[in-house]
Amino acid sequence: MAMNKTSRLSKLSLDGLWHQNPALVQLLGLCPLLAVSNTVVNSLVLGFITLIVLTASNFIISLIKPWLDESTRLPTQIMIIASFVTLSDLALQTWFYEIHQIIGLFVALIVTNCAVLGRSESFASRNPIIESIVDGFMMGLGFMLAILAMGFIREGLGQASLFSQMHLILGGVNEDWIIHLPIDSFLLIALPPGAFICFGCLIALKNWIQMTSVENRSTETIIAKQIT
Amino acid sequence: MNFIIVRLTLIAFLCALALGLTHSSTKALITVNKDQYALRQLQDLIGNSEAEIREVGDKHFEVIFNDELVGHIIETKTLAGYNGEIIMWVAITTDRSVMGVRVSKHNETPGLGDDLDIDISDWILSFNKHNLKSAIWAVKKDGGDFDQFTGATITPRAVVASVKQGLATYNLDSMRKSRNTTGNGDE
Repeated sequence: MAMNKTSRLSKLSLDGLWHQNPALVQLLGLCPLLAVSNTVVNSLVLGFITLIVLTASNFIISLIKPWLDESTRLPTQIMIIASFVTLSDLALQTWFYEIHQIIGLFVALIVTNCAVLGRSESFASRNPIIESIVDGFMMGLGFMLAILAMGFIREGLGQASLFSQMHLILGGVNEDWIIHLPIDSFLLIALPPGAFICFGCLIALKNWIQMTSVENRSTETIIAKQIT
Repeated sequence: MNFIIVRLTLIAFLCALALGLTHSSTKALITVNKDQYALRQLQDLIGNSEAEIREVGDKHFEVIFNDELVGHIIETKTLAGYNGEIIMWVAITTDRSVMGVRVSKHNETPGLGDDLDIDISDWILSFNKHNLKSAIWAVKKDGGDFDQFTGATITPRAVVASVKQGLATYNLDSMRKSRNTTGNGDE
């Protein structure tokens, strides 16, 4: 039983990070993913808040699921998600006001991120608490890693720098953190079309990795069969 | 049916409670952050972190240093940019030279027109210390003293004209008058 549970949790983790990655496979939450991924810092903050909101809302919804029925489930979920988003928005304003000046609009929009409502509706409202927390956390982490990858690519190629404005979350001055890359910046990548192009390339890369690994595995099985 | 209403009300109440408590406990700190942020922006604009900046009217500040009025910060706007309105703060000394200019809002093309942003280039600092007579207020392409950007002339032309206009219309007496009429003076 314990073994069963561990393997179930690790399957949930793999699903969130890779097989069912909310951004790269389910293609959910694309609005923030494309709009905020212009620098590493913006991506990191937005991804992190999404991660927290997803985990917290999954937890609460799984906790109160015995009291929910068909007619109250959706409004309740939206209310809870919206509350968590507003709470994190207030927290951001309290501790990191300047970063809030930059991405504040998109923090409020997390509530419309289908990845969040999707997980609470399709998973947390039907599954035990621990599983729901793990699912929320791993889906959130999957989203955060995807948006971070976009942030690294777009800031690196588009502005030829990395970690600009990192001081807004870590303190100090900009010069402490920023890394200037010895390449010419490629403007298109920093603009909205660049976001779509990067995202398409990321999906293609993910599919390519998956296909080659499946091919390897199937050749291995074929070889294994031939040997036997 | 009743149960549904009771349950939804209860959940809404709990959510509202959590939000209300958080809001009331963070409100003070957020206001401080906001004021500090605005003050820092303005102090950065005039290049003096010791100066006192006093709001005397809508989009209008007095700069006070060592108990002396040294200048004003006003907002100017222009529609002559490449894409929409460019809004900027212009700080002017009492003897009508520029203390500093910062663009607060613009939609100029990234990579071409956005060199007016202090985070991207130092161009906006080239106005500092100039007055109407110390420079020819036009971009170099038009025979003036201010650089245009590589590949973009419209944006800097608009900003130069707008700062020039701010300087030209700046008038200490009318500033005093507007201060009296707005009645925000606290002395």
